[in-house]
Amino acid sequence: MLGKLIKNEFINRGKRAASIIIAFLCLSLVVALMGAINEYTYIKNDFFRFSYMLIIVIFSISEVVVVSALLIGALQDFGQRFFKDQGYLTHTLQVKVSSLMLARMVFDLVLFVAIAIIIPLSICIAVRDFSAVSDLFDSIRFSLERSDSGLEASIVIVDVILTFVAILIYALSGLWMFNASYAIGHAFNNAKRLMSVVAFCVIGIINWIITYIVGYLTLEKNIFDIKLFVESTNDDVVAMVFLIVIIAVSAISVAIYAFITSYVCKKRLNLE
Amino acid sequence: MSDLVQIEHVIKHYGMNKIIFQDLNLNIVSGKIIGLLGPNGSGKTTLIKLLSGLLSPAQGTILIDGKAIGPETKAVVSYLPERTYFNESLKVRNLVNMFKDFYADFDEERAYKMMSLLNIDPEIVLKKLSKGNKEKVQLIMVMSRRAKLYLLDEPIAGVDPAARDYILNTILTNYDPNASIILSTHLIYDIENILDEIIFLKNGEIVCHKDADELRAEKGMSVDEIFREVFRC
Repeated sequence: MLGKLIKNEFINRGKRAASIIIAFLCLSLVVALMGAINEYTYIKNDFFRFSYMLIIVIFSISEVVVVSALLIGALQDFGQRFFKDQGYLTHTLQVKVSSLMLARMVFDLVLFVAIAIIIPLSICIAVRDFSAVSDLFDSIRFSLERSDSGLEASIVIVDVILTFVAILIYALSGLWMFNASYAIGHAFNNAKRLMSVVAFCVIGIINWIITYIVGYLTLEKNIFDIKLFVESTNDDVVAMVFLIVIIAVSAISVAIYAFITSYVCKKRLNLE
Repeated sequence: MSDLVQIEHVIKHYGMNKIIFQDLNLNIVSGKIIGLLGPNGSGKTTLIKLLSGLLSPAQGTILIDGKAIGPETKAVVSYLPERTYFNESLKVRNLVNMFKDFYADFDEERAYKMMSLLNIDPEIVLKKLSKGNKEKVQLIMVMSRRAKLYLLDEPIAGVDPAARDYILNTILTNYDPNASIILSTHLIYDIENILDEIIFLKNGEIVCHKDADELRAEKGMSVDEIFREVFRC
């Protein structure tokens, strides 16, 4: 059933996300084309220059707009399908709430991967320069070359992968913090939006307090200092442990937010 | 006949002040069309939402086909809410595929047959349909399931009389005789001929639960007239 739910997520959310991404890539192609015309032809009149500058400005702004639209779209869809009219279908499907949450997370992760690939790719297309990509691979290759052993080289590769995973899980945690706040707010009978904002602030404050305590204990008391626990002088190993800790903490917070959302859907569902 | 629905000592309230049901008890057997009748705010929609699993009772037990509300009961309950509830950016065919994926009892062939009778193109996007046609698509999807219990919340409200006839005909010709239908409405005149049983709800209490023919014979009036008498303001 999970597979069918994931397929359903793609049908429901994929079209909109794909349209935004394709439109953005088309815009980057237009910027690249105009850049090429500007560089290689003699069309240098004021109108062309103005248009070129304008399209660059639009492209720069659209990077933020695209990411925002994709994230806001994810939140809107969550509200519609779980707590508004479409919730009447979502919550009468013959599936467990946990499966609904898991399917949604899978699509969210795919969305983040798409954002992580599309934004740098579109910039490379727009400026017609893919050296940034080759620089990234060069730096990885350089790290591998300076490694004394096969083990060290493996650690470098693992660090790169873990960094990517950590960013994804951390972003997922942020999105699900919004989802959980929305769910809590919509468990109330009145002022659902206001209660969602209040829930978001409360979760934010709790997160801030935990971060502050952990930071204090690490800096002042050295309790959570990773270097004390890792018996290695190799910075790559320390980085690996640090990344694993970040992934674990983010994954735990995602699980907590998903649990809160599931609880509201199971026990406190209060559809508009 | 066995009890398809068993509701015992159910308490439901919204917040502390708005109490909907204080001690609701109700048994419904298989193979009946039951009219859930009552004025606005009497608790009809809340009762249907409790049965469909959209709301949880504060206390008490609800069993459908002997099972507590959950994925197992959702497999045998087909629910039509009183609003449009599909993602309007999807094509009708996407909805059919979705129902086929999630409900083992969904009869795809029956759904397409009903659509062709109504000239509804499966390739059309829902948002391009009129309100009446959207409601018909919803009804087709719900009635294309071979469920044990159909929960129809105001299925004929907001549609013209000709469409009402179509909807009632669709309900009558598409449900399994061993299944039960709970049909909530305040347009009693239109549906009274198809009802086997009547439930009158007033302020969250069942004031009458009887066989429709018995009730008519007992009072010497139509159900519509009895309703007007019971709920006279």
